[in-house]
This record gives sequence, structure tokens and C-alpha cells, in this order.
Amino acid sequence: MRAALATPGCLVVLALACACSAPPKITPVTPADADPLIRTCLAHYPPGSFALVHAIEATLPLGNASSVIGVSSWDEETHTLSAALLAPEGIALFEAARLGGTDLLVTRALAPLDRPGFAAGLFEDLDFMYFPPGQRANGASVKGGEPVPGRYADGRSVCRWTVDGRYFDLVPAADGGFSLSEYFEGGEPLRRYEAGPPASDGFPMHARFVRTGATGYSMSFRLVEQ
Amino acid sequence: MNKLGIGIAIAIVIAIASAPRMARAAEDFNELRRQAEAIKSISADFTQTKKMKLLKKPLVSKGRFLYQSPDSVRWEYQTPIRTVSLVKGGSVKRFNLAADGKWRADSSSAVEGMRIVMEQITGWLAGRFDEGTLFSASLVPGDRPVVILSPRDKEMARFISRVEVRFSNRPGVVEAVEIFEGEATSTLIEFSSVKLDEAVDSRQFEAVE
Repeated sequence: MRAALATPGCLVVLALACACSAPPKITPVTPADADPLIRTCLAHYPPGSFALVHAIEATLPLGNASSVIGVSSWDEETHTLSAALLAPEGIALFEAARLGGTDLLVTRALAPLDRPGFAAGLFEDLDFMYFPPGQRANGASVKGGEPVPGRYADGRSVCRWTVDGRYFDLVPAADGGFSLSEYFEGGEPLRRYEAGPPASDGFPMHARFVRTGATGYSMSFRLVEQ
Repeated sequence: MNKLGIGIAIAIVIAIASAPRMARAAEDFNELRRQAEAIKSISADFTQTKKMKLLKKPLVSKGRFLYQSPDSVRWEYQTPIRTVSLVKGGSVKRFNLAADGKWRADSSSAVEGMRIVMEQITGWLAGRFDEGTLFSASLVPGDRPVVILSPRDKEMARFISRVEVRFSNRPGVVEAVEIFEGEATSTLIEFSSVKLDEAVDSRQFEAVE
């Protein structure tokens, strides 16, 4: 048994297991630093309604790549989140809206965007990018909705939400951008969003989203209109 | 992204390629076919205006296309996304300009979709508007004739209600193509600087740059 554990393969497995046993550790900040840090973190989320058009460069599972135009819109009054994907030729490939955080209505989905789970996954990603982790899209707060301010071992400030057994770390960047990482309870990364410095109206000109795993994908965003 | 979207895009190109034929025989699809071989090349700029409820204001894209008889097409968007679709001899390629400034081949299902619609394209290139398996064509004659392409397939009709190819009063020149996707969703492509039968470098159908 000892001999087996000593093999390089087992050591790698053990090392990976240890690496993913928990999300990165954070230490508390002083009370004087806490509120300003939380305000900084929350300031990265849209304060109200928005409508955005992005040029999206997507890298899909198996290395496939494609470019589309993404339209996303949030109506604060009706709590309606809408999204569309357009081919460069203008054809609407996908169009859907979610009212009140629950009722997802897909009005158009051309293959392969009509596959089960695509619409729900897209809206999960939009939630991740545009809404604080502890806040439902219908405006209600959920358990874990309050961020905990802290610092990583390397000194970077971080706000951490713990919601439904997952960890969400928002790390403000010196250039005005930020990164947001989602971890499973065991520490395995699930999603990451890296936003560059904001344009004049507050939304980042460039951003990148990565979803990890066997069916993972990534998207680079360039803001076209807001 | 999919064969429908690509099919429509190519339909637009082919409609433009058929423009000179239309002007001389606006009431006869057979005449279109007979004159198909007369056109050697076309180049034009285009402005594409997308309207849909979700957009606060229409989304405008600009680009350029080239056609060389019998089966070469370059369909290029310059803003807001830079993409180039190349069709030549049954081969279809699509490239996207990545954030790092490099052109990358589009390996999504769009490319396979383009191959599927090549059969349609070949027919349209030969002036066979009225023989397409994806669209049926009708002609509205006049000083500014219009060809209306209607999807034959019910599934496609769910997403594309019709495509209108509008000719200008200048003989042989297409003014605009509009794709109607539903009540409030449409894509209008307006052409300018149309040039016919000028020399075209065939390498433009083989490589992005």
C-alpha cells in the first residue's frame, strides 16, 4: 500500500485533491476597511436597467470557435432579463426572456442552440455576470446574500459570497475592472468572469468568461453598444 | 452559426449576383437562367440594419462582398464583428478576427451548414430562382421589380417568413434585400458602390488576407 501511494500518479492525485479541498483562504479585513471594500465590490454590478450589445468570440467544447453578436437587457421595473444571440449576418439564432427570475420563455432557438439546457445555462451565466450572487433576479435576497470582505494570502482584497454551497469571490482590480470566480464547495472552480476597466457608462469595454469542466467554454466580450 | 443563417446570407449574395439578369427579364425566371453565365463578377459595399424589439436602436453592420462566376463568393463583415466567409468550388470556409488580431477558422456548425446549402447556392448561381428546394420564388414586376423568396419548409418558415430582393430603377442593380423573421424582427441589407464584371483577384476567395 505504501508502495502504491508513493507512485507519481498517486502523488499527483493527492496533490490535486488537496488543491481543491477548499476555495482560496481569505482573512478578515479591519472593520474600517470592510464597508468601503463591500461598496467597491457591489459598485461593479449594474445599478438598474440596462441594454447591452456585445461582439462575442466563443470557444466551445472540442475546440470549436465562433463569433456572434449578443444582446442582453434587464428591466428593473418588470424584473425581466432578456437575451438574444445574432449571427453576423443578422439572423437571430436565439431569443429568450425570463420574467421575475423564474419563468424562462424561449421564443427562438435555432439548432444547435435548441438543445436542452442551453437556455437555462445562458441565463445562469448572465446572472453570474450581472447580478450579485446573493440576489435573485426578482430582487429578493437569499441566504448568503451578504458579501464577506477579506484578503487573499497575496494581499488582494476580495468579497466572498457563500450561496447554496458555492463560493463567489469578487476581486477588484487596480485598473477599475474586477474578476469574479465561482467555486464548488470542495474548491473546484466552476466559472470565472474577468472584466476590464469600465467605459464611461460603467460597463466594461472588454471582458472574458470561462466555464470549466468537460463541457466548458469561454467567451470574449467586446462592448458594441449600451 | 447554422445552416439557416448561412443559407440566408448566401441567398442575399446570390440575389445580388442575379441582378443584371433580372433587369432584362424581370418577368421570366427562365430568361434569368439563360443569362446567368453573362455575369463574370460583382463587387459591392453593404450596410446591414437589424431591427428587433430587444434592441434599443437598430444595430448597423457594414461590409463588402465579391462574387466571381461560376461559384466564388467572399462575404465580409467589417463592423461590428469582423468575419469573412469564403465559398469556392463547393468548399466553404469562415474566419473570425479574434481579439488577439489573428484570423481564426470558424469551426462551429455554421461551416457544415454552409456546405449543406451549397446545393441551393449552385442553383441560384445558375439563375434557378424558381427551382430552389429551400425557397420558392415569386416575381413582382415593375420599374423596381422585387423577388420574394418564401421558405418551403415549415420548420424554416417558423423563423423566416420571407426574403425580399428589391431592385433599383437602375437596370441590373439590386437596391436592398430584407429578411423578415417575424412581426418586429427584420434585417435590411442595402447595397452601394455596385460594380459589375470588373477584374477580381481570385485569391480573395481562397484566403482572408
